[in-house]
Amino acid sequence: MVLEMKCVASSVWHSILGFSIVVIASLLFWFSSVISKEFATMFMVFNLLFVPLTFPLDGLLAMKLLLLFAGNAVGFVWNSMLWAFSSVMASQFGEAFNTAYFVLSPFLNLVWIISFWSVSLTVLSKSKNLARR
Amino acid sequence: MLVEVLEALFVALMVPVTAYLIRHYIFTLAVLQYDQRAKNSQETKSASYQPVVSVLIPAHNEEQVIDRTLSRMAQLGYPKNKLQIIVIDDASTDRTEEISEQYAKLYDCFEVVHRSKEEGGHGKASALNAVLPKVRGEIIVCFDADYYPQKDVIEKLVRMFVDAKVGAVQGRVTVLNEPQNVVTRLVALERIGGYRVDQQARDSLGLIPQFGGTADAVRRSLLERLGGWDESVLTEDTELTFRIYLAGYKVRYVLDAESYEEAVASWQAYWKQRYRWAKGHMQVAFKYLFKVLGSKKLRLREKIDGLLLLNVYFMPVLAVFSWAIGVALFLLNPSKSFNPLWFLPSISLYSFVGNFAPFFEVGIGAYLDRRTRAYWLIPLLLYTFLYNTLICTKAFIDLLLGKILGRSGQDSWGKTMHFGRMRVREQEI
Repeated sequence: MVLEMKCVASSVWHSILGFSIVVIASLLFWFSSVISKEFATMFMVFNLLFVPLTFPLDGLLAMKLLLLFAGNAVGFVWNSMLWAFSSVMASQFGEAFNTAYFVLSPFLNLVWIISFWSVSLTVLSKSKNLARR
Repeated sequence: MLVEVLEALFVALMVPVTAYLIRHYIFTLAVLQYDQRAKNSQETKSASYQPVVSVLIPAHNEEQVIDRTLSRMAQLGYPKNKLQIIVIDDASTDRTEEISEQYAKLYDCFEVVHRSKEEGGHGKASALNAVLPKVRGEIIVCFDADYYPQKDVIEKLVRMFVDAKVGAVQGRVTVLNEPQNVVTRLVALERIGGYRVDQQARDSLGLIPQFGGTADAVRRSLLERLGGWDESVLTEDTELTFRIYLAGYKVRYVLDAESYEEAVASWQAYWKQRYRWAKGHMQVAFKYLFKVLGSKKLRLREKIDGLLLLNVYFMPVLAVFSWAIGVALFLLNPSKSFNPLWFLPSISLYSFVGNFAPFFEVGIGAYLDRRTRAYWLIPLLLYTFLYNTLICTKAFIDLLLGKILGRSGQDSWGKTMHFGRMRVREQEI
């Protein structure tokens, strides 16, 4: 019973902390003049999906935070490459490419967001199994 | 003006999409909490309740799998003097009847009912109704001919009927032939999302767990009072779920009553099976939507869940529609700033699969089952999601056309073929 309460309390505490970080970061992204609204939305989607789906699980808080920061870094690199690619393609193909890019970009972002979340589940499960041993 | 109308429509379509995503997130969290509690709690088991049980196995040309299933039925741990196993040979043209008769000669509790070409082949509901007068058990348990249950599955299902308000009980379904190919692996993931998380959450939250039509049990007296299985719809199981609730009873879900099924192994078979599910579910939605909302026997939370459950197969159609509106808006007014809501249809497209478990429900289900390697396939679910949008859109158009053109009566019942390619390692079950 005590163990059970400790588990639930730690997952709640991890979630609250994760949410706090994400809300602050999202506000900074959204009102930043350097980051475009599309970029900011993508970061918010990732963070708002990642925290509630990862932080309530068993595992070290440090590991979860590390994964959260790693996810944002991956997202940044992914979107930078996507942006560079789309800029070159748009100059070549014009409006037709812009339309295709507009339709597909959320999909392309979801591909890395979901893949990264799957990898994070694997990492958390492994660390959980190691802790059990 | 057109842009404003389309924008309003786009935002309006995002409301149900968001409602479903929130619903499934609540389910996921509920199951995580349930699992934490279940770790340290001992569930009370009413092992002393052992009514007479009739097991019904409808089979239409199932020679490849029926022997395995019947051999398992003979191994069930439930007292044989309280067990009646009826194999319904539904106008088979292969060796199904011959194999079933061999078991009937060997075991007293086995019976075979043969249906001729004229009587049979009209679907599962028709086959089940045909044997209802022969049933002796207080509880009826149904298995499809390819199912391989745990030895104590009957005990686990039946113990829930101690509660007089329980009309039916659903057990968990797991894919037996998962390693066969990528389709079976993806179907296995869908099943994890649907049964490990979705059904469990609905049971834990006191909502409407779905009666699945196989690996389940129903109270005979209630079924007779309700008039048996409905032969006019393609998904008689979903239809029965709502009739049970509207009659003032409930459906329970038992996670540890596990049965193993042979999943469809090709994209064509997947289309055929899901098309039937989608169209049947939509038929039930048209039939029960207002009855559920107006019922005095359902609590508010059950009405909300019933409403969402009934409409779940319309969601892929709405997603396609919202996607088209989004593109039209962009083409009509490309200079307009980026709309953050545009992310929602793409997330929702990751959500239409199986029992419409979103990717996170599938992932958390795999996590709770400790299926570490299964996580790696989650990104591939995108293909299944896209495939399901096509299936549901076609089912919706066909159903509408059928209604407009006045085509009534039951649609053709496409049987799922089973090949029995996977051998069961009994020591693992």
